[in-house]
Amino acid sequence: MEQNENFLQVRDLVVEYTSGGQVVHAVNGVSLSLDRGQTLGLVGETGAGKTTIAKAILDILPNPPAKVRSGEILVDGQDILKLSEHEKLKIRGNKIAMIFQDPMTALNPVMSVGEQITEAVLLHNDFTRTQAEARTVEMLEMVGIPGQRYVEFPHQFSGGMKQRVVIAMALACDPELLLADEPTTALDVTIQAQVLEMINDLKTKLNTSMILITHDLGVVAETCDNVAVIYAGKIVEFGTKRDLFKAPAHPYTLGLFDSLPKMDDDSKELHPIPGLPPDPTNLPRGCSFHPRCPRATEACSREGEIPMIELSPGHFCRCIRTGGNN
Amino acid sequence: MWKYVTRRLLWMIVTSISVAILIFTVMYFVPGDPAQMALGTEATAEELNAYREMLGLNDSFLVQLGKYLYNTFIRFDFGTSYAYHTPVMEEFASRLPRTLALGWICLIIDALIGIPLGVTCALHRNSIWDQGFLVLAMVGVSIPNFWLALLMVMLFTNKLHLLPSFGIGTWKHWVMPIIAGSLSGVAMNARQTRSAVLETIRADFVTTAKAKGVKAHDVTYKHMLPNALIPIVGGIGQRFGSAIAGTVVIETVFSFPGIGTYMMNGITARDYPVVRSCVLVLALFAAVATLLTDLAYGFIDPRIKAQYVNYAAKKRREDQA
Ligand SMILES: Nc1ncnc2c1ncn2[C@@H]1O[C@H](COP(=O)(O)OP(=O)(O)OP(=O)(O)O)[C@@H](O)[C@H]1O
Ligand SMILES: [Mg+2]
Repeated sequence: MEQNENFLQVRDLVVEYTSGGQVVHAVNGVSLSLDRGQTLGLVGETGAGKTTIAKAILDILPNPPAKVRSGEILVDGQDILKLSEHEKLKIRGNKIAMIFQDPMTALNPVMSVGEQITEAVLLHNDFTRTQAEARTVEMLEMVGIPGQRYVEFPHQFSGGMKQRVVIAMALACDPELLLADEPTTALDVTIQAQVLEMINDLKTKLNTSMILITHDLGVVAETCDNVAVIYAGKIVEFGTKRDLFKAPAHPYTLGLFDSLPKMDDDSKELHPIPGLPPDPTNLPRGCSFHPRCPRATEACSREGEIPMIELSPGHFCRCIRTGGNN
Repeated sequence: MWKYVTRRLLWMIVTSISVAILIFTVMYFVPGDPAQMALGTEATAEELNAYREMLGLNDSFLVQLGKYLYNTFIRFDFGTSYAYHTPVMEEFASRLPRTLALGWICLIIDALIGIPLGVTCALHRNSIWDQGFLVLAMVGVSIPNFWLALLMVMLFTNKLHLLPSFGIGTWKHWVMPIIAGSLSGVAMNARQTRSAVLETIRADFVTTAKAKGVKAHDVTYKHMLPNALIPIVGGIGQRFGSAIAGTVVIETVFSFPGIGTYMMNGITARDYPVVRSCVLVLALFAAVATLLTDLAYGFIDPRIKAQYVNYAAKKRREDQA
């Protein structure tokens, strides 16, 4: 009954924000797909539209200012955006759960952390209160927080512990799809590794699919099956982890790898990508990356959509200069 | 927690004594002679002097102040009104409940109407209703309450003969004072609630709640509102003091026999004991209101409650050391 291929499919998603009379083109035609049990990494600079994509999948973008202009989000073949509010409520937090980017603000400051998890458990299970509370305690202990801290409030927790609470909350109802928005950025390095391992364990146990949003290519290397590189609200390169690490093709992806510190480089110099991300209210014509691209030619700034090119099976790149073998 | 309250109560005593000294000094230096007021312009110098002697007004400033503080804070005797010749305490017994009732009713109406109105506006922000209401609220805040009172008297008393314009006795006497006293509060509460709710609409934890599958109604009432209430409670608390003080004006317009009219008459007659006691009582109410507000804060906001509790715990540790 369960289909494993294409468990999640996003097609031509376009999301805009209206802010101060201007239109922010946050997501501009993103398509991606994800199989059951797989992890997809979304990488890209700040403001690339990663969080917006994740929130669009849950259909929890604040409207106004956000508006999904077009696109389909199919989960098990069902378009989330076309469901009734009642059906959406049953999916949110249950079938699809999200770990938010900033644990410091993601929890309700005036509700005990246990209560916040129990709320989700009660919504999606036929549990009595006692059973739900027991489930919450179990989840808290699973992420390494003693059960008796159930009654405490967010301000009594450190940032890392809040992140764990957020994770416990997201996993409390055994989601089939987990949207993890930089789940480790707020944590220090040792805890980062623990949290990633924890998420990984849970994933394999429950065969959960995951979209992992991160700036950190190291995290991608450890956790992901596939990777999508996002630039200015578009996927510029998509492939398996192996494709991307062994044969990065898009100049932006190359730039990302170049900007990492290298062990074997004596010069100790970093090579950040020159220039700034484009203004999302006024994107460059043609390829959004061309103003910063070392390989750009006149053709790159010509009006019109740059097509995705399949370099090898499953490895796509949106660049007219990278087709073929050069 | 109790330590915190005790500490605050002690501070309140200090505040009250300061207020008492201040108002005594002010009244002492304000021109005007109670004896003259009481006996009229016909009185001879001897009569005036005898009267002043009787009231103890010929003593030096410090002696008078000392006596006043002793009577007020040790013997709990507020003195006898020069004009009415009755103990101030006795008058308070009948007037204070009325003023408090008026103040409280206005405050409760402010909250009961203002808060839901603000929530509704925030949820339907930028709709025609919201915009229209914002304009009304501006008007509501800017209309002076005595002017509104006079307008109402013209309409309901003079034109329609529906409501009595002064005095007390039936429920009808309360209608206009309550409306006049609560309009600006309703408007202020609504505006403050609106902006507080708007602020939480964008908060991350609201998105978290939505992502859990909480339905819109519960997101508003279980997650947004309790957070939005924190500044609102503060606003109500601040207004409590001024609501009681604001009744002074309203009582005067409607000759409503509460503390306000008592004080206004006291001021005109240079009736020192009356004025001093009224000011002291009003200050005391403002102080109690602030304390209650702070405690209510703690009740809603666990972060603030933690401060009280931590304070108590710290104290306990210090005491043990
Ligand atoms: N509420 C909003 N109103 C207006 N513009 C917004 C809003 N939220 C996001 N944006 C804009 O949308 C674009 C994409 O934002 P998004 O939060 O998805 O980026 P991101 O890739 O998650 O970045 P980061 O790595 O910093 O989290 C940005 O240009 C941002 O300024
Ligand atoms: Mg983000």
